[in-house]
Amino acid sequence: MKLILLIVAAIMIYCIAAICMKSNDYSVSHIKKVITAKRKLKLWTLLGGVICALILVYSSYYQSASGGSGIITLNYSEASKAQNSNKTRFNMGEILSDEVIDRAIQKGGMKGVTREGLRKALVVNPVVQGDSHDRDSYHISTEFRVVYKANKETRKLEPTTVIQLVAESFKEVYIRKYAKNFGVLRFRAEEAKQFKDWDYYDIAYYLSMRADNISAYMSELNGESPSFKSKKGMSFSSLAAKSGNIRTELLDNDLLAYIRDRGISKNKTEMLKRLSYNNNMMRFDMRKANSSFNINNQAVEMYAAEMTRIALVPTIDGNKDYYMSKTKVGLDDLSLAAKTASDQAQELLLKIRKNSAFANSLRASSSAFGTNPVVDEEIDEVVQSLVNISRDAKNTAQEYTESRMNEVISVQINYPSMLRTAAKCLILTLLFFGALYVLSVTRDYTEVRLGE
Amino acid sequence: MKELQLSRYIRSYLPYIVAACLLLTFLVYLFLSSSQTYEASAVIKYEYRGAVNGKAPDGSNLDVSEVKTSAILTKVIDKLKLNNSMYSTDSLISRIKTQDILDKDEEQLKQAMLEEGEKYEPKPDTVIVSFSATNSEGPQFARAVLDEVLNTYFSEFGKKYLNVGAFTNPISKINDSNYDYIEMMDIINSSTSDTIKSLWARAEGENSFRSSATGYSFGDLANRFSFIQETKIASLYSRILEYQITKNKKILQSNYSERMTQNRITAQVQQKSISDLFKLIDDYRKQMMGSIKAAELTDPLYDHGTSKKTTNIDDTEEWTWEVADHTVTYDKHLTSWRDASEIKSNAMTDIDYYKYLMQHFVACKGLCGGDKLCAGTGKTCSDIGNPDYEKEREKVEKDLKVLVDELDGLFDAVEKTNDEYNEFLGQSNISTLSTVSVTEGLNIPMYMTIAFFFLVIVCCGSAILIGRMNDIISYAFFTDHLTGFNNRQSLDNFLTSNGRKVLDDGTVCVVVTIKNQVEINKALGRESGDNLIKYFADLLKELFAQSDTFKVYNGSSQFFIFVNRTDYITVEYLLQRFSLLLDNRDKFTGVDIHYSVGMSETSRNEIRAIRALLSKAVTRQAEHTAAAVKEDKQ
Repeated sequence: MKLILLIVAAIMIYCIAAICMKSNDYSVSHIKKVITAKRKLKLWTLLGGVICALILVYSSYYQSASGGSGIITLNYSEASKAQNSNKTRFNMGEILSDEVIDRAIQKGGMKGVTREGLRKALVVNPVVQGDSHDRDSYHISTEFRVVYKANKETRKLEPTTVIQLVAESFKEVYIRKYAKNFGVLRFRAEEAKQFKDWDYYDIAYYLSMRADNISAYMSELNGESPSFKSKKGMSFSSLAAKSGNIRTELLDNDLLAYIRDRGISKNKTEMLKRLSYNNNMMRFDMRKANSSFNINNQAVEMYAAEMTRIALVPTIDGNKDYYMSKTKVGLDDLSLAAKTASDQAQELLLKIRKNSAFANSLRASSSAFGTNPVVDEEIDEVVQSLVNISRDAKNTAQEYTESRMNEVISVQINYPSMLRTAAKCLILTLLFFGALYVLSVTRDYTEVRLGE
Repeated sequence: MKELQLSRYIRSYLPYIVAACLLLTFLVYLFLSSSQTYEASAVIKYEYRGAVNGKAPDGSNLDVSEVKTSAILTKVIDKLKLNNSMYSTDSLISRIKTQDILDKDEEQLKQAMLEEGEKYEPKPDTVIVSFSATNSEGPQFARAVLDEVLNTYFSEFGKKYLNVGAFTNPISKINDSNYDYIEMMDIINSSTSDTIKSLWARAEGENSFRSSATGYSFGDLANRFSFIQETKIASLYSRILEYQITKNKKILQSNYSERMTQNRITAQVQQKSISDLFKLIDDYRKQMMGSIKAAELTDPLYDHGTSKKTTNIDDTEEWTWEVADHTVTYDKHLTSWRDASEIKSNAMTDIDYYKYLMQHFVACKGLCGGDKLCAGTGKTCSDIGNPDYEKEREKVEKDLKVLVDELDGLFDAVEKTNDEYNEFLGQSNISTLSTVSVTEGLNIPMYMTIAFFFLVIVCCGSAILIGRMNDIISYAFFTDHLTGFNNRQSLDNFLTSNGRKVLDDGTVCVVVTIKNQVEINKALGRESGDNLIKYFADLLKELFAQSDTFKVYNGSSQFFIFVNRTDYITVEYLLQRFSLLLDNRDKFTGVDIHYSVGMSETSRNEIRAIRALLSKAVTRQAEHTAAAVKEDKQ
């Protein structure tokens, strides 16, 4: 189409120049008079117009059959900061990443189409791009145009289908990579199958950990959106509290307490040996921690008082107010290190004592080997509670994410308008025909003047 | 010579001018296209607190050129799968540029400092990063490379300055190694402890981060590792010790013996260091106290520091305090003493730990028959005497493999979570003000337009020059100066160039000859005779002015005129007019002018060759006389 316009322009310029030069009259009225004078239509001008029309129709058909475009829009809130929804940097190149292309090929069943072949047929550009060198023209792109132009490998593919597949694949890959991952919330009853080979204490520990996972996740989401409520009226804070209650009441206060107090174990001998080993290992660690504390403390005592003559220094705080601050010296670091070591030793001591108490209970217990129906029942109850809370937590979190991400990514395919294409072809044909007509007029005019 | 008519020259060479302009413009376009470059650029801003002072998050100087280090470009090349033979890191680095953006205040400060002759050190927190691609690579390549460079840079920035400490997985192929079972457990336990410590350090720092790739937070992962450590690792450990499971007791014994020896040596060495440092600390303290007291005697105001005045950009003054720091060296000595003491203490504790382990393997449990048959052999007591030993060993191996696989999976999750965390940290501390935009280096349409108009002027000028030179040459060599017609040489060239052409209909040849030129010359003089010839030429010129003609003065008062695109009747009419004009002339009125006129036309005479046409016209000459006019007006 651009070529036709170029030819029309070239013909018109030539004709006007020829008329002016032949007649030596450069006025517009003269040119108009010559061109608009009544003359017979020549056959070749009509023929030229018809050929032009055929070429245009064919090229329009070919273009629509071999090319197309669509716009991908990022709708989530972080997009305006050039971020993914997990707050990492958005990279436009991921729209046509290997994964997206492979997925599109697989979904579309594109036989004989390779990844590179399809990639070469696709181009992505931002719909609006800013200007890095003009502060007023900075822009964060959130809309991207995907243009498809068929090549040898992909010529049999339907353009709008290709773009749709690529856009959908990108959306799926994006959600998998960057949307919130609720895998850790998922707790199914099947997870309990692995408990068969585990001792009761380990089962209780594991269930506590899973309850903590759910509780922590719900607390985080509550921090993000304290007011959100699911369709069933559940909020994150209530779910966090519920899972916290499972942890505290069902696990710590009931199950774990029962196991520790009664010395319940599927294999008492093995559990005792393990506790003994654990305690021995922790004693070594505690010895190191105590030693570290003592050494740091000794260093603090050794620190010469004269070396720590305090110099008060004028300093500015966060509110830009002056205050007098003490200089920091090595004494501070040593005392902090001593405190850390002391805390660590205390923590280890606590664990050792708990293990020792449990070991005592085990020794006092009558059963040495085998399952305990009471504990089994308790475990089943906890598992069921966790399954329920996990389902509620996951559903609520998903609802929340869906409401925030607002369809995440939307796609708009540009379908070619038949009417528009036909109008374009008609206008160009008429222009071309007009140019040919003017050319024939010019030729007649110049030949007449020659003959005069 | 013909008049200087610029439009004539341009008109006659117009097709060549147009063709040359178009061709040269196209060549210019090709040249510009091949020289075209695409520059992708983006604007980033460092958002953390120290950035405005030109500091990195860890307090060191911020170096924005880190965006184009070979470490980053190597990763970019890998990620984009660029051909290593075509794209080296250095070649890509050379195409990346950074440009500081200074705000207005900073610009003013810079100008003021430069005017004062002071050294200005920029502390940019906003930077334009750009990458240039050649025409063959295209704008998409420029955009893709810059996007990937920034992605990698953000991640590396987070890793280097914010997320201190990397995660390694030292246990991935531990099953294939030659370690004994207890050694493997030591390594597994130790790496698990280190990992838990690192995970909690991150969890406490950024406890709201949760990976979208794995779904874990650092706290979740730490808890998972802790669970495995306290249950599965502990269980395996205790079973190995209980059943004395080993690959070779003697080698294990030697190994731990050697470790204990090494630890003893370490403890001894550290003890020396401790003693030396203790003495050094004491001596240093005494010396420093002495010098401080001496300084105080001379300067009562000496108080371990000095005040310093600085002048701000708005000419206000600010006082800051610089502490005279004596404590740094002292603290270093004391910290060294502390570290040495801890190393020694830990070495001693480790010796006891190794003894604890060894006593399990060397103990005789009475299973070997009570005769201590296991002593001095490579096998443990359980190995010799416990019937369940082999079964238990196989179970331990199997459980160890399962444990390693489980830990591998967790380490993989840690790595993915940490990688994402690095990217998150990078993006949290560096924001994008303007996403990647691509501009063309050359404005080809503008340059082409300029080139086109320039070429039009040059081509027209050339056409005028060539045309005028043609006129000059033509006048000099091919024009009869008397009449202004082409001369005989020109006629020869004309006949030669048209000799093989088949003439169209409407081509007429006219021959006009003055028959009594000699007599007129005698009567009126040579000059008048020439004037008569010129008069004839002028008349013919005037008559045939609107026709496409080739006029020749053949000498000897003979004129040839070749007329194109005309017809016999029109030319006949013109010749009749010629005769009339001669009869009614106002010059040379005192003499009769005898002349002959001949004419031939291609279709009428059925002649298509130029020479034959001329011959026909010559042979068909008819005599005419323009009688003298009564009153001589000459």
